[in-house]
Amino acid sequence: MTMNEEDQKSNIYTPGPNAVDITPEKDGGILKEIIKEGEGNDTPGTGHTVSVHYTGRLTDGTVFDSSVERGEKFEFQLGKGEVIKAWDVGVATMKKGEKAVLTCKPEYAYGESGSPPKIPENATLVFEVELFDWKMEDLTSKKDGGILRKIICLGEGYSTPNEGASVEVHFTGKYNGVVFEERDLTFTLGEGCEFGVVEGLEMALEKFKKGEKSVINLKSKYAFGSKGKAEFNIPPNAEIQYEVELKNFEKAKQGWEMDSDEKLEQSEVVKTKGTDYFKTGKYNLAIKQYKKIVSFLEFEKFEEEEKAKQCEALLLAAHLNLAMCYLKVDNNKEVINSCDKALEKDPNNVKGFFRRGQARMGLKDYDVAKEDFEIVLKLDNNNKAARNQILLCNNKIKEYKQREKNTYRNMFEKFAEQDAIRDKHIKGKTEEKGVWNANGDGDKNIQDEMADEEHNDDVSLTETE
Amino acid sequence: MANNNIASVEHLKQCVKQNDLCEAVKFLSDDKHLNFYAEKSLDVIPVIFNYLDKENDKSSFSFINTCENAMVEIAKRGNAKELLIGFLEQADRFKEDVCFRALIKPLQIVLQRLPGKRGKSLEWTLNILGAHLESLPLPKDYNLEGEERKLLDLDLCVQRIITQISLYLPFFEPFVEEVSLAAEKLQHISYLDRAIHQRRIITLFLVKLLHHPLGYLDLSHTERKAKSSSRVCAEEIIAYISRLQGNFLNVYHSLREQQKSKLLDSYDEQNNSLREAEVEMTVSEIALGVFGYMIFGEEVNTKNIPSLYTHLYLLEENVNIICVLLENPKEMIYYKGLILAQVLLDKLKVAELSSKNLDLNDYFRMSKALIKVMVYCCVEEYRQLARVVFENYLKKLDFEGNYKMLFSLINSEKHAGVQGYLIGLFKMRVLLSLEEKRKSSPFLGVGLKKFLKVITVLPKKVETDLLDHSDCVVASLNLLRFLFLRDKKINNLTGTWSYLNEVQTEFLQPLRTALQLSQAHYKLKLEQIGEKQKKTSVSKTVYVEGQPLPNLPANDKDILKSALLQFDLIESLLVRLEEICDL
Repeated sequence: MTMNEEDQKSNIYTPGPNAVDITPEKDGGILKEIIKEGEGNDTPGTGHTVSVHYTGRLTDGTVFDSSVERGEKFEFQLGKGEVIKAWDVGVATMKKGEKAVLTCKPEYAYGESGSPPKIPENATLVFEVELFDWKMEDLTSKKDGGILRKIICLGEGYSTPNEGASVEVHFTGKYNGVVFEERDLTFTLGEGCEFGVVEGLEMALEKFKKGEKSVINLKSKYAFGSKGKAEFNIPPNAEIQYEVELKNFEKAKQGWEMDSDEKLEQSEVVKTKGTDYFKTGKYNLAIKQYKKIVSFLEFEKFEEEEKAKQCEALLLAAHLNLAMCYLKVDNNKEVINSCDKALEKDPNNVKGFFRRGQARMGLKDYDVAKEDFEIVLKLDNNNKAARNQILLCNNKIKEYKQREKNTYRNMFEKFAEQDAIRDKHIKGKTEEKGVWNANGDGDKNIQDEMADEEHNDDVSLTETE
Repeated sequence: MANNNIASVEHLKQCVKQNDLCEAVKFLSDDKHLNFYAEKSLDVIPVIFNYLDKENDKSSFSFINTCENAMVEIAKRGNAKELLIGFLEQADRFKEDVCFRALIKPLQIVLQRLPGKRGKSLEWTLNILGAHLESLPLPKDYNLEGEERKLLDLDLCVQRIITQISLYLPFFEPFVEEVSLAAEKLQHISYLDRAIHQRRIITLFLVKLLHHPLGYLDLSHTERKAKSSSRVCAEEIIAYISRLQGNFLNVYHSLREQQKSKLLDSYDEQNNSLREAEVEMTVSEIALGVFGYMIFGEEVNTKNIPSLYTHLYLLEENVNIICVLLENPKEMIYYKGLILAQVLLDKLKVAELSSKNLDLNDYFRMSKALIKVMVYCCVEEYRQLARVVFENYLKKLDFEGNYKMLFSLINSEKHAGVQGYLIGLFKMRVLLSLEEKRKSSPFLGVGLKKFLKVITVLPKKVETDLLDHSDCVVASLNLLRFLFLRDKKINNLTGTWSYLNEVQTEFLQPLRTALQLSQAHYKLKLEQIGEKQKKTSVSKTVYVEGQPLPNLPANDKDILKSALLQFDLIESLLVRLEEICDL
């Protein structure tokens, strides 16, 4: 066994006679020897996700790494500097199904210092690589293949625009190979719907670098969806393609990049924006803006009294406006959340109570809703709206009680019938059903109360709730 | 027959209620009865767990033991689907560790009996069991240094966490084994897509544990020393993951993508109500960070990181979570951030990071986070470490990058001490530029002028509180003195000489006035205090609730004296500078 290993180690690898130098500089830094020819003429390009199996050896034969051993193919993005240079250059020359040995000088691998503990200093590495397949880069976060990118021209640097960044783009939209629009546009990321920019294109742009030019394939759910776009002759559920160039962009500053005063300033700007969106009925966009204020100022502390006041006022407005927006999009839980926060800031805020009341009405919690409206009246005796709401609540409560009564009556009748028919012992089973039927809320409550009334000593049944 | 069963369940209930444990033990260890109970599992389980809930852990150990065994037996015999629901229903009772302990094994057995139900059922179970661990109280920050960190294992909270997590980890074993990569190799897996889903779920819940509770414990390990129990648990978690996922970086990616898609979904307001019922399928950024710390910082299971990635790429992949860790106020968390940053930076070559990389905002954020630790952290070791990491980081940046970093930091850091420190670092780089005769160095000429413009400013003109600001003023004066001494007027390599007049009017003159004002002000104060003390020479001590208050005036005096000394220092530097410049 040890002899064998020794044997293997002394067997210093030398590239075969068919090895070709594939470095652009022809410095012999990467030699490639094909073991098994691939099919076709295509090779993967920059940005493609390639999948390979490989075994890496030092020149003395020691295996330092192998995807085969791990039992999983290795995938990476080609040409992005993710992997050692020899691979970015080497794999780009391979065809589908090709198997080759790449001999890489340290300058194209881990260089002078190596990569301890596995790769020593100044090591030449020998990889046996088999290329299985490659695909376009999937830009969706769910990896559903809905937004695919093929880079035509690599951008510069590392920075990509974030939400809120101002971007300057040129794009051409194609459906079935026919151009349906082509234009130059400058807009703010996240607000693209204002300019007829589809969601998928915006999401893709967040991964663009300055100067990048790419082809983007969009599935319909990231583009014009099930409605299509008549104006462009695009039918429902159509896949479309854009060729996009990101000419320039300016990033939106994020909270941590600003000092306290800047955050205050930005919050004012954002607030105006939010209000504009709200007025034009774009509630989801308005919500985004108000949320920004909260994230900017939530934990800020100002020493100057004036600024502290301004900050408090902004936060209060943000919470109240959020509540309003959420009311519009019928998300009652968030309304209550926002109102609670607003009321923390200002415990006597009429709007806060009123909106919370409305949300609670929406959730059919009429009792507590009524309490909110009553507080509104207490704070502002002339508030007619609140008075009306209280009346409404009272009606609803009455209605509900009536309905409850009916249900109870029916239940008693049903139970009486059942009791008449069945033996006393079977009662246990009907109760069990009550616990089981966890989805029908009303049903469950009734069953519980029944249990309470009839078996006051039976603790275990009621306690599971 | 059926009546018989109910009778015996009722009977058991009575026994437990009346604390007649001997009788209950008899029932629960009788094979025949166990068969009955297994049939009526939904009635029996609550009875037993009711008892377990009542803090009976210590008082009746043998009964608890019997209960646990009985649960296991019932889990083996009853209707598996019913049992699963029966056990999960006990979920809210996890306030007691004993319930948690009693549920692990039976749940494992039941789930194993339901191989078709790996999706949602496993997800729910892991969610519920994980919730218990998440609810455990955490140790407080003890400001431990070096070897002292080992003492954390003695904290009662930590011991409880370790006990619970050691009970929990074996739960994963069969479900990991089922879908492991090894099993796939042996072709033991029939539905690969299902297996992949199961791998994803298990990985997710394992990584979650790394934030809560393990992230708050000490997971470090020095070679040839014994491993702490928390470290052993963390290693076990990583070992499980390595059986499921070949490439750890993919785990990173997929978990991060899930975070992002969650963010996107949260805009999707309409679906909110639907989503509530679902299990939270994302991990926190901290969890990801601690995972990164374990695999890169502590180098556990390195074989799961392909030796193909460039060091630069690995840093880039981690820089965001380094920031997240560093910005956390808990010492055990930001400590992990420091180590992760240190290890990854160490691998880079000098000047490998180009100024273009700095486009990525997180690189600046990392500096700011490091500086924050350096200034505000309570533990000296970490402050020092943060400084070492920061300086090492600068070393790995190219010259342009160094300038960009220092310039943007001097603009955004308002703490005078930090400013002084940054000016010192800047000075070293000017010296280097001069020594290496770099013509186009950003630290000379225009770049230098821009920098000087920022630092040779008194924030409130002559009224600046020089005591507050002294660190920065002293460093600025030092830099100027160095520049004018080192660079002869005829050569003017740095370009500072042509800027002299501006410095003189904008900085040096106001500084002199400010200095005179401050000196006069503090001297006056000192005299006043001296007189007061003479008048009230009888020493008085104020007592509050029997405790003497420290004598404030004397303290004040010290402060004033040291302030005056500081002013003298500034003055001497100022005079020397004026001498050099022939002003």
